[in-house]
Amino acid sequence: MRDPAVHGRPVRGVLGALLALAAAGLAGAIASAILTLPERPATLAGEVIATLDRSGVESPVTAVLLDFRAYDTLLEIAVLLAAVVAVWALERGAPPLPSPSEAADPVPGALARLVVPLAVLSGVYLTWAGAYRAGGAFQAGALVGGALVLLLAAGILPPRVRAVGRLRAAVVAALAVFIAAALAGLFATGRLLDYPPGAASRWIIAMESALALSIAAILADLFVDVPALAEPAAGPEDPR
Amino acid sequence: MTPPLLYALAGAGLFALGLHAFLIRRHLFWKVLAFNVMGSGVFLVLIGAPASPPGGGADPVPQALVLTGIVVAVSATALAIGLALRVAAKTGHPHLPEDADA
Repeated sequence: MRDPAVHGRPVRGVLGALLALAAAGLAGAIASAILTLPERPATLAGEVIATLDRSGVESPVTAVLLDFRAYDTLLEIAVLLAAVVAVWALERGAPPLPSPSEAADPVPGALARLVVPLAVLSGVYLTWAGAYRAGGAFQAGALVGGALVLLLAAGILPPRVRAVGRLRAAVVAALAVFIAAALAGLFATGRLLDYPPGAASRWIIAMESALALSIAAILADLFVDVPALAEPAAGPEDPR
Repeated sequence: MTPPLLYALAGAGLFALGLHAFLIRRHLFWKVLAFNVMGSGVFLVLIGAPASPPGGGADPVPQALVLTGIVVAVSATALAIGLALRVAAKTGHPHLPEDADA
């Protein structure tokens, strides 16, 4: 039995059937567009491979993310920061969720003590490996972010991560490093987000490390702060 | 049928499924979930549709695009769920005002 107050009623009847038909037709249209793509579609892969040795890294994906299209990555980390700041603004005044007690459930704590050091080690490796093969700041950030979430779920870290100044600093670190690198590149080479010849790989590793740190901190922060937004009207006994 | 083509076609199906759920469901959490399924469909098409570059392997440009997109989608989803929770906390029901009386 579904409670309509909780689930809401989906659209049914003639309108529902029409929408289902339209969605099926859209799937067919997209599929036929994919099937009729030209045999040799436009691709920038050749250009990426041809100029890879000028990028300072050996992985073509990292070269695109942090050299050829570093501007996109700069905007991406700005979008992440904007999402976190918006969540911070929404939760102003919301009471913090109670911290889970390690005495009540010792399993997450034991698991965290096993897994978190390995996850952090793997994150450092992934950040470094991004210069040469599959890997990079995003995968590393997701892994370390997961480790932070485990620490929070086990009650080892305090639940209000953002109250910890250092984690707040980690949230903004990547954008700060990116803007600093963009401006430094502008002064050194005359072009925004261009790197001095020969130093590109060191710059990229530094920016990747900052990215991994910030992505981990942002993911963990969102994990803690978003559930707190439900607090003011948690139960049905809310007077309104 | 090559595996990348299969991914791209599955992406087309996922996008349409997600759009359908997005249109017929009124609960905001369903809508956020449906939007994520649509996004996953777009990522699959972007990865599966381009032909392999001459050197072999996958095309790095769409890969980089999708990698960026996944991270943005995760944070945008967190913000969307936060907004939905706020709507539920303020109004007592997890729907948009125009869907609440339906």
